[in-house]
Amino acid sequence: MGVKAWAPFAVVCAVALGRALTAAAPEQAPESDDALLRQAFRVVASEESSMRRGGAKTFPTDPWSRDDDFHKQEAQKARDWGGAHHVRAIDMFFAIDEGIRSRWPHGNPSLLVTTTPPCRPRAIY
Amino acid sequence: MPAPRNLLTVGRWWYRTARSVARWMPWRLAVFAMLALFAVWHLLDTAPALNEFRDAHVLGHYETAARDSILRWHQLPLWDPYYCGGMYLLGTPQARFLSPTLLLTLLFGEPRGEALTAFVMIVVGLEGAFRYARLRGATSLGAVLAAPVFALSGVFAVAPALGWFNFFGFELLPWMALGARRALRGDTRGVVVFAIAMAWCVGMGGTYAAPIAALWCGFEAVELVANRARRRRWTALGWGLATGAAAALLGAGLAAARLWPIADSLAAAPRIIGGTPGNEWEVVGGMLFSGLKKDTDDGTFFVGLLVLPAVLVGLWRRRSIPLAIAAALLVWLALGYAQTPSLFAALRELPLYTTLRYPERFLVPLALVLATLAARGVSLLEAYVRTRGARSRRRRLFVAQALLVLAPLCLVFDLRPLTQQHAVRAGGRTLAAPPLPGAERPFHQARGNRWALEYYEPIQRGSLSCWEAYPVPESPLLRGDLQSEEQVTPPDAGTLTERSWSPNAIDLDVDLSRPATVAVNQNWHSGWRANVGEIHSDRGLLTVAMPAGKQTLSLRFTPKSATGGAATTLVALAALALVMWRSRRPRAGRREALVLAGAALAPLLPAVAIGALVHEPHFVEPPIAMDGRPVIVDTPGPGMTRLDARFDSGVVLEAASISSSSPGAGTDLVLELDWRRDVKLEKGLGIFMHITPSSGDGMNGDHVLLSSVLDLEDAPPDKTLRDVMPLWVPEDSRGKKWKVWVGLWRVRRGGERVKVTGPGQASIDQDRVLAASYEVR
Repeated sequence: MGVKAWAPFAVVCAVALGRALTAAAPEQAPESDDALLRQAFRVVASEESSMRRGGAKTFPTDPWSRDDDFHKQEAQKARDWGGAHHVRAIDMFFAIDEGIRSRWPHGNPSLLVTTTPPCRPRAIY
Repeated sequence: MPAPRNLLTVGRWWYRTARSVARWMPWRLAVFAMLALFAVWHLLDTAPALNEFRDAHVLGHYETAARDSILRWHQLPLWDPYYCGGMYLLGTPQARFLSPTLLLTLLFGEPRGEALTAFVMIVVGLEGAFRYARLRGATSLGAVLAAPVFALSGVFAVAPALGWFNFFGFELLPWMALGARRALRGDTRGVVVFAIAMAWCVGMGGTYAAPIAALWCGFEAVELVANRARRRRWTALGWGLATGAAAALLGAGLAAARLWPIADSLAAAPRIIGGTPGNEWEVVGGMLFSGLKKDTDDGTFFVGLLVLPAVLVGLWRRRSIPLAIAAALLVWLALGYAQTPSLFAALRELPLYTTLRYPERFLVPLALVLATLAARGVSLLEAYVRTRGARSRRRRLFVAQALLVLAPLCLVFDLRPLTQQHAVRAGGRTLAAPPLPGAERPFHQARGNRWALEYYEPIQRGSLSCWEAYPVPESPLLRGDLQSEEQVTPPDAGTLTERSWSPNAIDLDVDLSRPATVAVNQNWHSGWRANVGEIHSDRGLLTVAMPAGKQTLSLRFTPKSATGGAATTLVALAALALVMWRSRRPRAGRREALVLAGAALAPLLPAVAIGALVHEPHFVEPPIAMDGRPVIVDTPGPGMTRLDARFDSGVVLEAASISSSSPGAGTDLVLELDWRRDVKLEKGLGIFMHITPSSGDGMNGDHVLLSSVLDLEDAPPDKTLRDVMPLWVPEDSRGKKWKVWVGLWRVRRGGERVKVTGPGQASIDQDRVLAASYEVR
């Protein structure tokens, strides 16, 4: 079996590789400045208590599931607000972390939670 | 030439060409690669994009963390500080990086690597299905036509859409089956194929592919025993079983670099699965044969109805009986608890299979059975037309010829829905721009968000927010707002400076005026080593007890399971090379048997030596409830209301309490249930809670772990076991009276409630105990 015999296979593999390497990524929003990051943090953090109440209502006795439900809502809020204001998702999540760490001002009625309950996946879905 | 004869000539030309292509490996692989290319074109087209599905974030992150560890930090991917406060990356069952496809990730990045992995694995699966069908007696043409029924089936279309690239480990199923079948027939080349396929499959991760493949190989062994015993070929049976055992040992040895760490992780934090999942017959049918329907499981394991003519012909032969039995067993398993008696329930009694949650995943091997039967069906028709043509009556020959055209044509037409579903599933993903690494920053743990995990590692943040299929050991002391990730405790005992940081190695300059503790804001694991001081776990947090003075503290992550696993794999690799070299010319005899036995047993040497000689510290800390007090105590505390309700399973609900009998709306109560178990305890129990209001909808609080940390089965007998949890008082519950009803149910076995046999001082209703009541202000 000569090397030439493998040419069709090699060509198809090359097409697959070429397509993967030349495919264009979705367009990125520009990097956000400090003011926009602070605004993003304020918007998301201000709703923390109400989002946590939503999680508690869904999972009244399960600390991890409550927290996880909150994070689901938080991620959605960050994506929605970031999408509407041309802020990269990565900047939104960086803003939330930086805001918590540096104690940026926010409108949430209570202190922001700085930790999470240990992972306890539900045994029963 | 008359038209019919012309058609026949054309038909013959097509038939001969197709047979030639099927037989000649370069052309066959080119055809398979074309099919894979059609199937994954949409994935390749969107290769650099980030899949925003939650599982894709987590599973993609493992691959990114492994790549980062190798390329950025020049370390082996052992520890992942970016998730769950630090976890054993190599021991994470769902990570897929210990596979040859890691090369694609290293070269092209994680998102592009994923798309290329799908392409490569589909080609591997097509060739595997082809070879397995050939070994089962199919012709080349039949095997080529039927291979896509397995390798392009629904699960491989669904997996990339959800980010479950570890499911491509299933594409190795035919290779494992092929290797096992050949090994069981005494062929040492089968040993090599099986061992490599098994190690690859285990390396690709997931908790289904390898256990299901092991089951298949068990079936192959049973088939061999039945076959040889029927013919009374006892020597061949003995040699086959010995070669099969050698294959299993070498496979396990080769996979040890992954198996040992996974076993280590799951032993430290067992995965607990409850529920009694099942699928009705029409649901299973829909999964296999229906097209995609939104919000249903239809098409999730699609093989297509067009496979059936060839399958039905394939069933015609007596030699197909084992495959028919396999198909029946797999369907029975896929029905789960919906079919009584449940084979799936019986399987879950076995140690390796207790954690299986989704019975429908047994439809993946069913696709391989159907593909093999279809291949045999086409082969049977080919043989019939060729050999009986001269002797058969014209009518029977005509029917066979018609079927010979129809069955392969159906398989060809099946290619369209099979490949199309991949594009449809891939097109349904929510895609986003990939996260690009930003400015260099020092590493910090953040509160994080597992629903957006892929955004954290590029900004040098770890996500404490954590989800996994098993309860990752995670310290409640981790913080997501620290300015420095390492601290001296007490703070006035000295200072420290971070000299260098990387996932598996942290160096600190420590200056202490007196002995103190250095706390690292990451999880403790028995694999952490320190050059000075002594490593401890402080409620799961990594800490080092240090002597006074100026010193450099070097922390390194080198777990025994990783070094032991790697050494075992290396020896297995050398043993496998020996077996490969000797299998160039198949020989038989005592000498060959000795060589094979030596090769199979060699990997045990480093495994046993390292297992026995290397000792790791283990800290067994008493489980703590959310109120900071121990879960296991001698008696119920003061203020608890005695209930002493006994259940028919060796469990007593001794007492209960609630933090307030008139809470405000929109607040949290603290509920405590005190349990006690007998020495003899029924297995597989869970706790159900019905929180019922005087009017309106109630709430449930079903759970398995007491205080979210302790399984009843792991609890000591004759101790009070505190089950403390928050209880949310909804905002719209003002003025309502609530009752908390508690009971036990067979959450992992059957699902029914456990009877209350002794009410004690409690009110009982339908085998539920009234544990507490309150009225909302």
